[in-house]
Amino acid sequence: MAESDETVIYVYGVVPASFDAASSPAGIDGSVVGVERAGELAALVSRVDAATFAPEEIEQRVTDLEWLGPRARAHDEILTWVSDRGPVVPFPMFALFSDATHVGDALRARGDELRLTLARLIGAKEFGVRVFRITRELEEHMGELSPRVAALEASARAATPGQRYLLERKLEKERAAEAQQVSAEVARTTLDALAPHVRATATDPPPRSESRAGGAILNAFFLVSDDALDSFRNAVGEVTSRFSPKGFRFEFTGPWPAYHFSGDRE
Amino acid sequence: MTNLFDSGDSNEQLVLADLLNHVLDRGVVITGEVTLSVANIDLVKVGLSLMLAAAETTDVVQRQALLKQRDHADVPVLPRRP
Repeated sequence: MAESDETVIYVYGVVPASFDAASSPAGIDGSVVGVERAGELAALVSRVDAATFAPEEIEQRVTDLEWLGPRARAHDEILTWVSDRGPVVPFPMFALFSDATHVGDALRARGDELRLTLARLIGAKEFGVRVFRITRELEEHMGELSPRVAALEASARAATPGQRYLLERKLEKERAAEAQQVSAEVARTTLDALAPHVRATATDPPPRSESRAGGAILNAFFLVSDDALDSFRNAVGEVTSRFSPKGFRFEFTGPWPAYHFSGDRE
Repeated sequence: MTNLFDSGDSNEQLVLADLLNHVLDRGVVITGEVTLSVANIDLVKVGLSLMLAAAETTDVVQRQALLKQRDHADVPVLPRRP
């Protein structure tokens, strides 16, 4: 595909009008990153090749990781660089405008909402916490987390050998049945433990797992104030130490730009 | 061309999947003149969900070290399992 002389405007996100992008790293496709100001707001923009970013081109190439990957990284790199310097409302990839006038119109049309969102994001970053269950490990510790299983285990210990055999069979079933219930409680306990240390919480449905061996039980995102980062980190550490030995794994990512706290999905 | 739907589960791609999960459908959607109605993005999101689900069966402790670790001094480092 030949490159054209035409360009369109790629918007990464929205910042306060005072933001200075002069020392920004290179943007998508090596482009220069600048700002288009409208009142108190500014869009972070790059001029990109119109043919490369035509809707039908994007449609065709978006499942090609070699095409999409570097552009996704550039998009995130710019937003990360900006979020290290102040609040930014991230846009998803491929927010494209034909010219600066339309960018300004879009900012003005949602100006109030964008200003409020920016104010909410000052001095904060997003972090992700995913929790996984390793079912086989959890079942070994089920008595510590499930009162039903604990009661059965106590009965089994007190039982005669003949009764014990039946109770052991029942226990096996009960441990398997309680895995989901206990997982839901661990997810809820995790959210409750972190809530006092965060400005906001968002959850995605965990990616579906087909495996009985385990799977994600929580996929959560937290907006954390810079000055609460230590206490948040400690709280994540505590909940990790509490549940890791019982068959759960915690995965921590970030800091991210506030992708989950930019307004539309809250 | 590396297609999302027949790609392996290499760690590099897992990290990319996690990133794409953030940048493709997150953030403010401005309506109007913008080119956002890309139907294929929905397909990609399905693919990402599958990749992330497949990754659950891999060693998540190893994953933890590979996923987004930024070069920031303030990145919290979680304690290892006791």
